[in-house]
Order: sequence, then C-alpha cells, then structure tokens
Amino acid sequence: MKKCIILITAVCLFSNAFPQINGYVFSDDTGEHLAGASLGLARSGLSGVTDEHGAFTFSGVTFPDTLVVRYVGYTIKAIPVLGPNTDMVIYLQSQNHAIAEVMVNTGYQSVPKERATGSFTHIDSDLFNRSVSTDLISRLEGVTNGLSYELPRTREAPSATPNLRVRGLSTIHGETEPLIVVDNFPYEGDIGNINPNDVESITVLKDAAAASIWGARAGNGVIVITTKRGAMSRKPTVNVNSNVSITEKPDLHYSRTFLPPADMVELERTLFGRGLYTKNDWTAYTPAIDILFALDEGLLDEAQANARLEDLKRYDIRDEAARHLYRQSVNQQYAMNVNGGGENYHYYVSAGFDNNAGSLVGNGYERITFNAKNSFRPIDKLNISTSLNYMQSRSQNNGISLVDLAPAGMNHTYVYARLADDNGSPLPMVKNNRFGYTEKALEMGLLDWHYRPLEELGLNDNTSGSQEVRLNTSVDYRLLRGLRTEARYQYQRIGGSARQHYSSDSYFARHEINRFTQADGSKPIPLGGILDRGSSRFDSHYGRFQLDYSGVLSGKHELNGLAGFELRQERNIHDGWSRLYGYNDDVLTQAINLDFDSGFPIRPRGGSGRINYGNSPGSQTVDRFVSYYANLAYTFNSKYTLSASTRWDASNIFGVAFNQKGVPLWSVGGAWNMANEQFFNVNWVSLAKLRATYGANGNAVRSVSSLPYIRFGTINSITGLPVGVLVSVGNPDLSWEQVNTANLGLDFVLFAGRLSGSVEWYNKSGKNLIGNDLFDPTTGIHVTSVGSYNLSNQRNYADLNTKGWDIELNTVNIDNGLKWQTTLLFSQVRNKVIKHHTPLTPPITNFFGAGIGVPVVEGFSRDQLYAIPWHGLDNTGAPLVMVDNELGTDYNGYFNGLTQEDLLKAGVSIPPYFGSIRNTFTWRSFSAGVNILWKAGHLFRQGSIEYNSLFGSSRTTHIDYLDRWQRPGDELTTNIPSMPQSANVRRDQAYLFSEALLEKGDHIRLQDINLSYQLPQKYSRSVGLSHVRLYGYANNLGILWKHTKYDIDPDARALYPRPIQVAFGLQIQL
Amino acid sequence: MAVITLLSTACMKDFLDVKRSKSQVIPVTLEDYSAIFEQTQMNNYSTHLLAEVGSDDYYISAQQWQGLANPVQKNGYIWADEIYQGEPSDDWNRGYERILFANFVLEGVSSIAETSANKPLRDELIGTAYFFRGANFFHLAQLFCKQYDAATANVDLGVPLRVASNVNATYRRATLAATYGQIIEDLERAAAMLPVGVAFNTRPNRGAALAMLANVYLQMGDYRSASDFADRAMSLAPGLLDYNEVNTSLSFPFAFDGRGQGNREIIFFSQVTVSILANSRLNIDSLLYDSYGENDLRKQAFFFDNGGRNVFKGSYSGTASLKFTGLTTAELLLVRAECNARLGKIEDAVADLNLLLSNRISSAHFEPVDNDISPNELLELVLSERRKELIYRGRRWQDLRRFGKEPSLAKPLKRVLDGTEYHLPIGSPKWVWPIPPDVISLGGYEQNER
Repeated sequence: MKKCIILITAVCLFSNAFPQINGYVFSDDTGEHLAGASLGLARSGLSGVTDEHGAFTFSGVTFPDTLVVRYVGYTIKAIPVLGPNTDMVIYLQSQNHAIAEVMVNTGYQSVPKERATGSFTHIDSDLFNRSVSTDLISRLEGVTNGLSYELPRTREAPSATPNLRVRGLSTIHGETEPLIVVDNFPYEGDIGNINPNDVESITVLKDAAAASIWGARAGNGVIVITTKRGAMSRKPTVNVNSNVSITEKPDLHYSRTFLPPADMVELERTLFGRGLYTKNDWTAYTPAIDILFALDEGLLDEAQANARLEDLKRYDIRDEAARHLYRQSVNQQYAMNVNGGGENYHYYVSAGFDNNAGSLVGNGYERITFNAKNSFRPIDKLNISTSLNYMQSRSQNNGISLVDLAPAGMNHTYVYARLADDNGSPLPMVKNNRFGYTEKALEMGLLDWHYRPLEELGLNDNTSGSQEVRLNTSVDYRLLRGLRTEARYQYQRIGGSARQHYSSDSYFARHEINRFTQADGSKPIPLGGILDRGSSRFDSHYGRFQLDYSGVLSGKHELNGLAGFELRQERNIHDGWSRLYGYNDDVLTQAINLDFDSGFPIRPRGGSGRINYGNSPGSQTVDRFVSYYANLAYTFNSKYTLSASTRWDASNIFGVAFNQKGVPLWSVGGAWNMANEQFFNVNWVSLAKLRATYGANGNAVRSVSSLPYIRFGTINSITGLPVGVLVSVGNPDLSWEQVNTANLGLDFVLFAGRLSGSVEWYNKSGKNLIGNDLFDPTTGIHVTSVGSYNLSNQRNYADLNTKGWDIELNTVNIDNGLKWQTTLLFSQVRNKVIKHHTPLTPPITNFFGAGIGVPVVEGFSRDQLYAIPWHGLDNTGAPLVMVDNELGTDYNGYFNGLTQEDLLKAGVSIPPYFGSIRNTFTWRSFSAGVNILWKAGHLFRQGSIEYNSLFGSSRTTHIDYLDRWQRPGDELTTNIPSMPQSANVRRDQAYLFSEALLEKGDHIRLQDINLSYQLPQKYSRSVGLSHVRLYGYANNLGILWKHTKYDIDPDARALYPRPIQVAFGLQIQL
Repeated sequence: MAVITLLSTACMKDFLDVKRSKSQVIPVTLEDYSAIFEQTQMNNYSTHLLAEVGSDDYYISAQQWQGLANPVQKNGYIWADEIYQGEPSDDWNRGYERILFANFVLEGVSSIAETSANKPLRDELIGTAYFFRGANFFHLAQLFCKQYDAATANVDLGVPLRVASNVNATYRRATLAATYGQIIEDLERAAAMLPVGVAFNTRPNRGAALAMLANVYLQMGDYRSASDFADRAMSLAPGLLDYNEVNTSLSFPFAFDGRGQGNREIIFFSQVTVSILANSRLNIDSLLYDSYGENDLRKQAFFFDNGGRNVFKGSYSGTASLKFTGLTTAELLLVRAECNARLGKIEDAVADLNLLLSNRISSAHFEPVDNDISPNELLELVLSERRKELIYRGRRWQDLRRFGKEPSLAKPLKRVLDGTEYHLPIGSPKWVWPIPPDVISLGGYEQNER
C-alpha cells in the first residue's frame, strides 16, 4: 500500500507537466459549463472535479481507461479514453431541472450546494414565483424550511409584516429578525421596497457555517436575496409580467367581541337599570343610553322609548361597514425587464409598477421601481459592474375601519350604529360626545360637531411617501489563475415623508376648534384645517474589499477561500413631527401666533387644557461597523470537504474596550460525499452527503450602550437647575450576544432523483445574551421602592437554548407525460431559557399575556403560556378558586397568594411543529400546485366576556356573554361566569386567566393553489413571442382541519382573518 | 492587503469613536457632570433611616406597630435578628448609589484637563464628589459597622470601599480602620478642593467638608481633632437662626421658601423619610419632651399635640414627612462644646453653649450658663442640649453607639409592645445592623454578627 502511494505520487510529480487528458464538462440542456462535476479514472486510480469553468485536467493516465463523470441531477456518463486527448467536450444529460446544480449565495460568494458544509435553504425563481404578491417576504411562507412565519396580534387588519424566526429564537431581549441581505449588502430599508419581479433567487443561511460570514449580525439567520442580471453572450430578451389580484372583503362578523344588536340594546338597558350611567355632556354615550336618559327625564314616554330602542335593533354596523367602508381590494402589478449581453458585457434593465387599492375605501399603495444593472469586461481579467435601483412609493391611509368608529373611551363601536340612512345620506355617529350634546352645537354658536364617517372619507389626506436609491459598484480583477480581487461599494439613501391633513370641514378640525371655543365665542384654535407633517432620512455607505481564491491543486485537492474587510456607516435621521393650525391646503396658508402656553377651559367638561403644540423632537443615530473576515473550504477528491470561517466585528455601539477585545466569531464544518466513495457502489444513490458544522454567530442589541449617558429634561425642584439623570453608568464589558450553533445534516438524492431531500438537526445556544441582571446594590445599581431599576442593569449573562429538526423530502411520484412532484417540509423547534435572572418579582398578572410581555423564567420556554387551574362555576355562576385547599370565591385572597410556582405551565404560544406539503402537477403545458400548511403543538388564549370592562367606560362586550351562566344548573353546561352585581376584575380574571380558555392551536390550512399554462411554442412563435404563460393563483383558501371547536382561525389574531385572494396574470417573453 | 489593513486599523479608532445617538448625552463637559449632582437623590434618602428606627427618641403603640407595612422598620423597631424579610435597604442602596455617582463624576471630571478658566468648577466638582463619597461611607459605617475603637479597628469589619464606577469590579469589606481612613482622606480632599461658598446648600462647600470631619473625629473619640475641625468649620459657618425671630406657632416653622432654602443655619442640606416617625404614629419619648424647658422655644417650634400625642413639626425640611439630616451651625457649636468640655476647656464650651441657647431660649427668660459649672455637669448639659437640638436628625443612634464605650454615658434601650419587652443591652452585637441579605448573596460579603 505504502509503495503504491509513493508510486502514484512519483507518477503525478513526473507527469504533472504533461497533461494527457483535459477538457470541459457542459450541461446538455442549458449549455452552461458544470463546475464541480466529479471525474474518475478507475484503472489509473485518479479522480478530480471540474473547476469553475467546467475544466478538468488529468496526467499520468494508464491507457486505456474509462472516464466516469458524475454530477448531481445528471445521468452518470462513462467515456472510454484510449489515448491522450486534450480537447474533450463532455455533455451531461440532465435528469431533472429541479435538482440541477444549486449555487447558494452567501452574499460574499456563491458556493455549489453540493460542496457546502453549512445549512442553506435555496428558493429558486420557480418556487419564489409560484405565488403572487406585491412584497417579497410573504412569498417565503410555507416554502422555506425552518422559517416560522407568525403574524403578530393586531387589533384591526391582519398584519402585513410577520414576525420571522429562522429556526426559532436565539435571543431573549435582542433583535429576533433575521438579517436581510440584498445583492451582497445588508438591506436596511423597508423590504417592501424591493420588487419581487427583480428577484432571481433567495438563500436562507441557517447554521453557523452558512451564516458566520455575516458575523455579529447573523445570530438570527440570514436571508440573502439575489436580484436578476443579464448574462454574457445572450441575445436580448424582453420579459413582461402583469397580474391582477383580488382580495375578498374581510369577514367583519368574524370577531367575537360584538353582540348581536338586539342583545346589545337589551344589555345596555340592563346596565342602565343598574345605574351605571351618570348623565353628563362629556361622555360619549351610545344612542340607546341617550334614549334611556330621555325616558328617565320624561322627555320620552315608555312607548316612544321602546319604539326607538326596537328600531336600533334593526341595524348592524358590521353589515353597514362592509357595505360602505370596505371593498374588495385590487392589486395590479406590471413588470418588465430587458436583459442580455454581448461578448464582453451584460445588462439588465427593469421597471415595475404596482397599484394596490386597499380593502378600506380610501386606502391605496403605489410603487414604482426601476433597476439598471451593467457589467462589462474591458480587458480579460477585469470585470466592472454597476447597478442603480430606484424606488418610489406612496401610500394613502384615509380609510375608516370598524375600529376607527369606536366612540372615545370605548373599546369598539356600538353594534347598532348606522353610517347612512335608507337614501344613502351620511348619518352621524357618536364620537366624542353623546348626541344630546352635539345636536346643540350650532345653537351654542359652535361648528357642526357631528361625526359622519361617510363624509369624512373625502375630508382627510393621510399620505406617506418614500423614495429609495441604491447605487452599487463592484470591480473584480483576476490576479492569477484562481485568484481574484474584488472591491465593492454601495450607497443607499431612503427619504420618507408623511403628511396628515385634516381639512377645515373634517371632524378632527371641527372637534379641536369647538373644544377650545370660549364662552365669549372666541376661538383660540383658528378656523381652518390642521396639517401634521413628518419626515425621515436614512443613508448608508458600505465598502468592501475582498480576495478570492478558487482552484484545483494537483487534481484531488480543491481549495476555495476568501478574505476581506468591510466598512459600514448607517445614518438614521428623524425630523420629528410638526403641526400647522388654520391651514388652507389650496393656498398653503396657516395661522400664526397661537397661544400654546395658556390653559383654556375645554368644552364640554370645562377644566383647563393647552392647545396641542403638535411638534416633537427628532432623533439622529449613526451606526458604524468595521469587519474583517475570512473563509476557507478544502475539498479532497470530491468526497471530503472541510470548511472554516472567521469574522471580527467592531462598532461604535459598544465601547472601545469591547472593540479592542475583538472576540472573533467563527465556524468549522465538514462534509462527506459518501456516494463518491468507490466502495459506495450503490446504483440508486446519486448523492449521500453527511454534513456537520459548529460555530458562533453574533447578535446586536442596539438599545444598550457600553458608554455612560445622561438624560436632560427634568428640573431640580429645590435649586431649579436642570438635572442630568444618569441613565447608564456604562458597562465596559458589554459585548455582542453570541449564538453557538451545531448542525448535523444528511442530503440525499435517490433513485435517479425520484426521491431527494435533507434531514437536519441543530442546537443553538445563545450565550452572553443581554438581560436585565441582578446587581449587588453596592455597585450603586439597585431596585427602587417603585419597583424599577435606578440605572440600566443590562449585561451579557443570559443563556437560551433552541434545538430542532428540519426535514425536507422531494419526490417525483409520477413521471410519464404527467409529472407529479411532492415536497414535504417538516420543522420541529423548541427553546428553553437556560439562565436568566428575574430581578424583580413580576406582578402575577403579567404571566397571562402572550409573547414578549410574559416574564422570562429560567427553565421554561420564552414562548411559555401560563394559566391558573379551572374549577368550574359555583351555583351562583361565580368562578371557583382554590384557597387553602378549599374551593371558594375569595378572589383577592387567591390572587394575593398566587405565586409563579402555582401557575400551570400550559404550553407554548409559538408552534413547535410546523411544515407544509406541496404538490405540483405538470402535464404538457399545464402545471398546477397546491400547498397545504400545518402547525401543531401550540396553544392560544381565547378571549371572553370581561364584566369589569363591560361595566367600566370601555364597555367591552363578547359573544360569550350570551352563553353565560344565567340560572342554577347552568354551571353544569357552561364555564362562562354570570354577570356579577358589581365589577370585580379578579373575578373576571379567575376565568380569563384559567386553563378553560386555552385552546390548542393545531390546524391544517389550504394555503394556496396555483395554475399555469404555457402556450405551446408553435403558437407563441407565430405571434413573435418566445414564451407566453398564463397563470392563476389563489391563497388563504381556508382551514381544512383544526383542533379547537370554536369557529375561529387559530392564526387570526385580528378583527378578521386574511381574506381569500385570487390572482390572474400573464407572462410574456419576447 | 496588509497595507490596507494597517491603514484601516490606524483610522478605525476615529471611525468608531463617533457618538451613536444625539439624544443620549454622553457626559463630556463639566456642566454635564455638574448636572448629575442635581439629581435629587444626592440629598434625599440620606443614609439615616435605620439610625432613627433603632434609637430612643420615640415610641409607637403596639397597634400602630402591628400595622406597619415595611418589615425593615417594623423589625428594626424591636432590633429583631432578621429585619429585612426580602426588602431592600434604602440606607445601603441609596448610600452606594450616591457613591457611584460620586465616583463617576470624579473619574469623568479628572479626565478633563484643568485650565485657568475651568479650574473653579472643576475643583468644586472634584471636591463635591469626594464629599459625597466620604460622607456616605461615614453614614454607612454608623449603621453597618461596629462603633470605631482604635484598639480593634484593624480587625473590625468596615464597608466595601468602592472607589471606582466600574460596576463589574468586586470589592470585599475593608477593615474599619481602612474605612475611616478613606472617609477622612475623602473629606480632607473635599475640604481642600471645595470653595467657601456655593449657590445652594444642596451642594457641599468647604465648611460642610470640615463639619463632616468634625463629626467623624467626634465619632472616633478624637476630641482634639474634632474640636480643631469644628473651629475651622465655624469660621466659615453661616450663622445661627434665632428662634426668637421664628414664628413657632406655624404648622411648619422652618418651611422658608422651599426645602431648607433660606434657612441661614443650614451648612449642607439632606433629608430622609422615615415612615415609622410619621405623625400618625409617632410618640416623642416623654422624658425627652419634658427635658425641653417651658421657655425653650424649641418646645413650640418642634412639637405639637396631635390628638393627645406629642408629634414633630421641627424638621428643617419644612414638611412633616421629610426629616432633615444635614449639617447646621448649631450642630457645630455642640460638637465643639462637647469636645472642649471633655478636653477641660470649660470656658470655651460654656461660651458655645450659651451662644446656642441664647438663640433657642426665649430672650426674656434666657439665663446664661455659668463658667463655674463642674466639668461633668457641663458635659451632661452639652449632651442633653445635643439630643434636644438634633432630635430626629439621625444623630442619636451615633451618639448611643459611642456612649456605649463610656460606662458613665452608656444607655441600654428597651421597647415594650403589649407587655412584651425587647432589649438592646450595652455591648450587644445588635448595635450593628445586619447587611441586607440581597447584598450578602450578590456581593459575597461577610455578614455582621447578630
């Protein structure tokens, strides 16, 4: 054996200078060269891989031999070599487009996925474009393995911006969002500014080896977006894409917080009877209460009052709002690009226009994007690329939602409200004062004080706009074979401005003017409109210098490496808000010399109030970063890959002491392509790759400062001098949070591509996480008697562990004319707080929220949901609580004695299991896809009737009220407490915080269906087009199965769930 | 590559030195540092709470005691073994908070180069920082350390001497000798740097530093040094308030305008809220009340009848809830008189005593003390006047502790609640309060014997 090695080495040394075989490997369908194809000459005992140009070279060949060429996704090819041949051209036949060579882009380099050790999810253009949307991020939902996509709880419309978690949490108090990289640089604007039509592919970097090149900001994963570009020697192509998507009107009857109108009127009558309303001019009493006041005062008799109350029961604001305020929203998208290239240059020019009419009448969004990318090669070794991106958007928010209709102080509007009379004329609604008062406004010499929502739609102008410019330049020079140097620079500037104009007839302006109108009729707020304005700017400079090496050293050894450094500056300026009174938008005049200092009596209540100055201070922050990084991958014999990377970051966020310490973030990894082993001679395995990585990434917490700082603004009451409140004495030891990630993965392609996929296990340890720590009070940092810290007490000490599995399976089920493919994604993830101090005992009621407000408890998940045990109702309908092992109704005693240990650790609020099954069918020119999403293992807390709020000013109702305990015996059939005689928040909480209202969130949803038809080329060519594709897309199609018996969508935390959206489009290539 | 790396390393420090946010003011100027001392906790929450809780100028009824919400004061009243029950100690926490601010300002101001233009403010800030640090170490030592005894000070435990603002640094408890050494060093530096006059009595001046030094030496039993510093302090002292000119019938005779401003007797202003002394529960010790003569104007100025209980209105803070604990000219006279009485300088002592009393006793009835008074009688008289003058100012506890070393003056304490008696005998370790358990567990300090 030893002799053999020496022999081979000797042969190699001897024959290096005389290549006997060389050539290139190409793909038969794309015609592009294949980098990283593996080659073997069994008899000669030689093997190697093609370089980045698809080239290969062998020396010392024992002829005759057989050259075996393998490449993932391609049929293995065996070519007899009888003698030296220095001009071989080998075409490999593709097995399947979907698993063709995938290049994953880290933002610093492109790596063939086959050779990568880290964990990457690659979303190609096909997958990305199967859905239709204005924005880019929503297209990742359900197709990105390991990415959880949670919509935050909002009061109104379902949120458009999800909370993204790549492989769960890795921080407790820090930023949780993944870093988003667009064309090699971190993207700091609104990601909605990027037109998805310009996106070529997306790579999600999930483990330390994949992401550590991004160092201190990679702790939450990195989403790398690569935009489209031209290619050398490609004839110009013009692509046009246009689509229209229509979203149903929202289902306003979804929310469980409304009572039917008849029940609402009767409930108000009951509450009125209990004396819960005291007549005054300054409370926004509902019409029913106004009628009852009139009855009480003898202004109406019993019959008249009853008739009016009965009349109210006929109307439902949810229907009225749906008719007048909401609409089907229509989004139009037009995009066009031209790209191509000559021998020494390529280009890509695109333009896009989006015009969205929102689901609220009066809301809209327009976006114009323009891109121009050029790349040219003036001399062989030099490549210069530039790009210009311009975006301009405008959004109008003049719609009036159901939530906006709520009278002042109330949680939501009264259900029997009307927007228009039978003839469609706008009707007033109660807003700040009861009708009985506002009706007298004109008599009192005031402006009309009625709020008529339908009139308001045309009286306000709430518009915000944004412009973004990004300029990119890169210069790439090939120094030697395989060695390149590259310099990049990006400038980005975003300007945003917002204006809210209340015209002189708007309710807001009339209300403000009336409130301040004095007894003598003088008006401290002048007649006219009110204008609020604000603006912000962001600009950044990124510079990077990098050396790349990529080469094959003597056949079997392949080395890829890069090293570089980077400078960044990001500047954020907010100019604050300013307000003009007496504003006339036609001639741009305003009133001056308002008296902001004096207190004026305010109508209707009296008392003293100052005119809202309306100006707020701005802010300005500058973040600067310096980074050095290096990355190396070594592959031996196409079988074994070792990778290592390191990065060192410094910034002005943390202090000098930290920057000087410079703890580098790093990763190491290894991969073993088992299928390339000669002993691994299993025909049906085309790829079997084991990967393992470990390393550390960072996470920034920009809210903390290592430097001391003081805050001015208060005055010492004794001396009258300004106080410099010391907020933080600084902490020179503060550093980045660190996330250590271990990742094990297996990638496989079996049965000639019929079955492929990956299985990955990971373990993320968040170390040195920043938390509010306990300090020895001797340091001077202590808890004051009001229960808060006197000084900032954050430092790096907390630990969080997150581990889980990501599994992806792709199958080709049928492939005979009809092709049926299935992709299954499965993710499991759990987190646990390993170390965290809770310096103050939090009020026990804090534990019953969800999400970020819930106290962090060591040993439990950050997403933990807590509850108290439920013991049912007693025979008066009062919830039972256990005090001293006895059931009773001593709620104060119960809650006072309740400790954290007594709470039920019910489950987690974020699904620990989630995934999707996507089926794609292709037959001739037709293709269809169905994506089904599922989430499991989590809980959510249902709301219910809160009598304390119902009796209080917010008058909160809930449909559960109808099913409440009403007579003895009901306790056997309902958990909903009876209406108590007087408000007792603890009695409400005994039910609201109990396990009885926790519901399992498990559900399966039909996320979307897409259809596409490609016009056969004989037809498209006949009209001069090379491709014509028609497509349709429908999403939010509904829930197929859910665990909870309630008629609700476990993911819909807003007033209504995301409505069904249907889109149609046309794509043309010239 | 190497060249570029070098270049960027050289300019990197400047690049990263830029301030991140404009709204966060990183203190840079002397004015910034001065504003830190305008925080009200520099003068409020003075470290005298447990001193008042444990001393014998008052008592409360068993019923009131049962109703006390604050365990520290409730348990402290009967000198219980464990007094905190999980509650933090304001004395410790606020004392060390002021020490942190002092250290922080000291470090910041010291790093600003001295110029002829900035010297006055720079010196004042350095002096102020030293004053706050030294004074707070002293107040902490009166609560959490044994009474100073030169014979054992090298082994007795002092307090942790935090002299840097870095919150990551750890300290152990110093010896009592080192603690007093630090106190004296800080206050002497303060006296050297502080100006004679400052704009507000919430800031120390040179007289305040000297008066603190007199108090420190008195507490150490070094009467000669105490007398010397009292002398020097008196030469800068602002004067006395003649109670004959005070309307003693007012609900708050010493209100002036604002907290202690306008009261010419105050050298340095500080105050503390002690809820156990609230007028809703307070009973002044009856023997003490009776010791104020009928012509003693303090009897009317300090006390009023609140439904059968004699309660207190005489705080120089000018309110009921806040107890003045600062330094006054009157206190200086009493310190000097006591030292001189002990040192046999009868005439000097009598002069100071008469000066004070002539401003406290109704002019029509004032009879000066004779110079032929016996030394023992004189000391007894001075100490009695000291107790009457400095009632509820946190001084009684200090005095009881130092008297414990003198058999003729030592006084054991006793409380009675519903017939149960609680005793604090002479020499008991309970004359030293326990360090709060949270401090012990987080800082790893040695606890006091109890």
